[in-house]
Amino acid sequence: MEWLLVMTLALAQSTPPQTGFPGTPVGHIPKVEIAWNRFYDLPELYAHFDRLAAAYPTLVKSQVIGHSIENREIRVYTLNDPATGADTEKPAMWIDGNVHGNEVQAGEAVLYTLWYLLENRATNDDIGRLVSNSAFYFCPSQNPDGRAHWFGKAHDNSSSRTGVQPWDDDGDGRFDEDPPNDLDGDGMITQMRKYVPGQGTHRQDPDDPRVLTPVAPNDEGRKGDWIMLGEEGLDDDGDGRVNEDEVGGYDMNRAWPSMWEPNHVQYGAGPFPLYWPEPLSVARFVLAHPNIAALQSFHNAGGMILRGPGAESYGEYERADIRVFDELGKTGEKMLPFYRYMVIWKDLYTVYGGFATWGYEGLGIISFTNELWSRDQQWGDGKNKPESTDRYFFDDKLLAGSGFVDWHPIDHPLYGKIEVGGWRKDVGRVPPTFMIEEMLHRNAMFNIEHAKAMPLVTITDATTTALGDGLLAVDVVFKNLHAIPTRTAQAAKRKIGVPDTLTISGKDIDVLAGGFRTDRWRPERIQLAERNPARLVREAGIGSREEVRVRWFVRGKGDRAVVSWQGEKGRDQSLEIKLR
Amino acid sequence: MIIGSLFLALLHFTPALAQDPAPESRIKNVDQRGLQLALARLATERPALVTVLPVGLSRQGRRIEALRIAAGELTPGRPGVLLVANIDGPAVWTSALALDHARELTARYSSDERVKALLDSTTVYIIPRVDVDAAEARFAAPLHEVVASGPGVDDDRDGLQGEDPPADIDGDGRILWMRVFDPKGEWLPDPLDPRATIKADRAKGQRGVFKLVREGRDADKDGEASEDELLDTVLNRNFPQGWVEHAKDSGRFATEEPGARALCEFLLLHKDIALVMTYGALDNVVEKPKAEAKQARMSTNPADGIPESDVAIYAEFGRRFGATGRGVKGEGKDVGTFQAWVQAQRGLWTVNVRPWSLPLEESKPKKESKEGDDAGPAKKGAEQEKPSDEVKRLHWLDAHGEGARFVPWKPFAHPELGQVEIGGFAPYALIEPPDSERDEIANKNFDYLVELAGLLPRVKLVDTRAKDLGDGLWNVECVLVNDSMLPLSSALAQRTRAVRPARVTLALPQGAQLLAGNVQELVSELAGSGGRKELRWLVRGKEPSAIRVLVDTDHAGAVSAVPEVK
Repeated sequence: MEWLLVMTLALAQSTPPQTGFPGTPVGHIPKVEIAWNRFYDLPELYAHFDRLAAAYPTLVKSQVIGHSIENREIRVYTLNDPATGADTEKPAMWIDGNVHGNEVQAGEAVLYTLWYLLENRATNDDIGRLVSNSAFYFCPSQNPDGRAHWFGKAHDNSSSRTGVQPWDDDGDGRFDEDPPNDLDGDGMITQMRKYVPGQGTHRQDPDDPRVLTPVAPNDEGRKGDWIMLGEEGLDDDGDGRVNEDEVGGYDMNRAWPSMWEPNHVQYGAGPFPLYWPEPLSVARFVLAHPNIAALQSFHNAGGMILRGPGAESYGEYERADIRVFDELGKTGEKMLPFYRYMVIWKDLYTVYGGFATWGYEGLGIISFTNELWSRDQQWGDGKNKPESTDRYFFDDKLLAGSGFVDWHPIDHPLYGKIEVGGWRKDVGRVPPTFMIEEMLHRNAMFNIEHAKAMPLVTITDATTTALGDGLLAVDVVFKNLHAIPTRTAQAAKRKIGVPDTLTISGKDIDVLAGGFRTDRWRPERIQLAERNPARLVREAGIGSREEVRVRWFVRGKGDRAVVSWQGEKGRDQSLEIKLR
Repeated sequence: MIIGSLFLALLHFTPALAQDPAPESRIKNVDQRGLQLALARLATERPALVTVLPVGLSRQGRRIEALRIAAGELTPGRPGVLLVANIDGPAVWTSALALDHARELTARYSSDERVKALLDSTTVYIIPRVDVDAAEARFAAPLHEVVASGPGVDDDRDGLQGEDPPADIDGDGRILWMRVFDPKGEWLPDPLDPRATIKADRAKGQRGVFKLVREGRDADKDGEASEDELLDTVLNRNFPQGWVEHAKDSGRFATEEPGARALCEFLLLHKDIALVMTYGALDNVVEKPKAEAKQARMSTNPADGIPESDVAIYAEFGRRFGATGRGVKGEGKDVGTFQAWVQAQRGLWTVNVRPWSLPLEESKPKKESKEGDDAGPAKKGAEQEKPSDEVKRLHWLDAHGEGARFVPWKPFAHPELGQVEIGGFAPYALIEPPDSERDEIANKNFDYLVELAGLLPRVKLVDTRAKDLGDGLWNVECVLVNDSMLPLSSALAQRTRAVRPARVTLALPQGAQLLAGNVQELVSELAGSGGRKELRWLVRGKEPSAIRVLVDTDHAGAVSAVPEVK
């Protein structure tokens, strides 16, 4: 595939500058041109990230956080403006994709988000502020092996979801010995069918030889002419079964610590949490960055904005946090036509040990998984049904018939003369090329919406009241301007990380008492700190757009004090105030 | 009393107050360096029998090592047993117990028929110390019974981590307990024995007098002593089965501790291990494990109880332990432990032995009794208060000249908290047996280990024959048999599919044709004590003597047979 990369680069350099593209002011020419009408194999994907890092060297840093089973790099690209502080001092958003190797457009969605932020930072105030005040960690592929295999080897649209550690799926002591086989050598794993006139389960559509419909059971003994023999394959190990032990055979989005269940309960979970090097590397990075306050993990497909819980037995999430999820999720539904905001176990299916559910349940981070692309989008009017023969119409008229491998005969060692054919691997779960960019842009903008909700604390309304005899009451309002709390209710309840601290200090002042005010109008209603009043500890943090009012009682000669807020998921704030 | 000499006495484990000097035990606490040397020495002295295998590195970078003890060739599928000790941080002495078993195995190989038979057919793995980091506290000063060896959390939620750990504030060389006098305290001296401490029962008109906390400063001056330790994660709470998320001793994810992960990897790598025996705080041979509810579904992970058919086997392990081994009831929940993972998720037989704990003895001790680990309920009148376990333990100490294990409460002027008392059970006093008992514990449990290892499943082929049906048609059949006590795999292993089934393959000569039957048959269920599985094929060919039936397993041997023509 490397020649393709070279071609793309050459093309990018020779293309004359265009005037404007979606989301930027007219006349703005992107510094880095990337074609958004195709998918990139891992080296190409990383190369685009590296081009961005080279074009914006102070803002983008690349690091290798681990290696896959086949020794491919797992990379994280950090977007941070060092002029406004280190990334670890700012609230950060984690964005990854492609934990399922076949769900490739997730990687481009990560790339597009970084590209869009970089390209618009200088010309768009909103984006500029976001990039100045926060950091981003971009992990283009959590499963680089799965991606590489899906691009480079024969697959269908849902295979290569796994990683590639050899795995004995059928318990016969041999590993990956009977995968599907590309019998016709076209690079696709399609279906096998056999012509058995009057004895089959399926009937061929008289108007369209591609279409097979099952014959409903009936008392008249009517039968079809075809039987379906499953995916292209052989009995490689001669055990009497076909395609029963593929490469790998597990699910790295079932490997995460919260609500993890072993393999016999949750398929693909492995022998213990974070068993494979890929999720372990990612987990170590995320755990080492308690400043991560927002998390998105891109998948395909179906058009969903998913939140946990993944299993009913977890119970419901904390009410205050659900309000934040709902606000973002419902905004997302408006930004992403054909996408539905859903709860995983309730609206999709049960998932134990998912990544984004770990983000919230384990780490207290507001976390989403977007399932990129819905086939309903092929028409955009909701009238046609992707499950029906409308699929073939779409393929004929809009893809010039290129999505379907027509049935063609081959000789099979076990089944004899059969036919092979069906949908190509890049149909169904990924959008057609002409619809890629819209998918990427809308989802990148949802990321930006999510990131903009990360906590931002301000200190306002610091007032001093003389109570007589040199005693001062210092009232300070700490406000979180954004929707995501400095500590989610989950973090506070499960005691994740460390609580926020609110402090006052100053030369020649004694802090006699202090605490959180519980009534805006009655200053005497106050939860006094038992000890160390100059350093108040707040497990609950500052909630969604919440104002926290603090009163300190101070005495002393000093005429100035500094009040401050420190928390894991926001930039520390401090304000010098005059006492008299 | 001179505290220092008591401390030394405890450290060296000679019963300080005993009347007669007890004979020295061969089971001596051994530190990391000593342990590594001992393992290396065994491997050097008996290279044909003993190999040191790396298990992994601990969080602090110490080596966790295993011994593989086996005679002869390590043929595929040869069954193995794994003994794991000191997986609970304070159970340091059990490393010496496991090491002693290793020595006994090698020493007796040439003289003891039973041991020879075992090592000729079975592989014994011994990991004498898993929590190598926590164990080092046993050999450090001040002496501190350390349970946690992994990262800490902000225990007291003040935004700081590990800022107020326990400490030896009176300089006596150990970290004990403090009675901090405080009207908010919930504790008071036990009226039956003021050395013991009980929780005030307000319904009985009892009023708390002091707080009971670990000896230490109030370093952060928040009014509480020793309330935020440096380390909190407990290795044997860091395994996946029943792991409790967000508990302070669990770690941030199951297998976060390098030692836990290494141990899991070791077990996955050594698929020959059919049974795991552990020395620690857990027991399932003195007390029988619980059966799961009848309706337990396949799709849910059983947190509570195990299948009936497995319970029956465990009951037999327990019966044999009663006759051969020596141990006491367990302590603590079996959640997030290595043992729970091995049993419930890997489906291996998991035999947990707690070899000793400080016995409970009624107030009228029988001097001649050496047993009495678990005295029954008090036989006194109902109006009399039942003595607490702590009181019973103190009685045992008094009766057996083991008084050094308890440090009398002594007033101390605490720099932050005012007048306190320091005292209580000395570190490791509840865990480590007196010298006089150690050899017997070792001998009995060694015998038990050897007995257990003799129960492992082994596949056998019998009655492999070919019957001539005429015209080159042969009926080939055989019976797969397991004469061992244990079935091929546990009910839990069949549920989890974590143990590979026995694979039966029919190898046909060139030109022969299989007319009926499967070339490969996977047998996951084969009962013990003569369990049978009959297999049959129809083959067409000239020469049945060239046909072979092959059976291979990961953990129950491998056999093959040529059919006898009948």
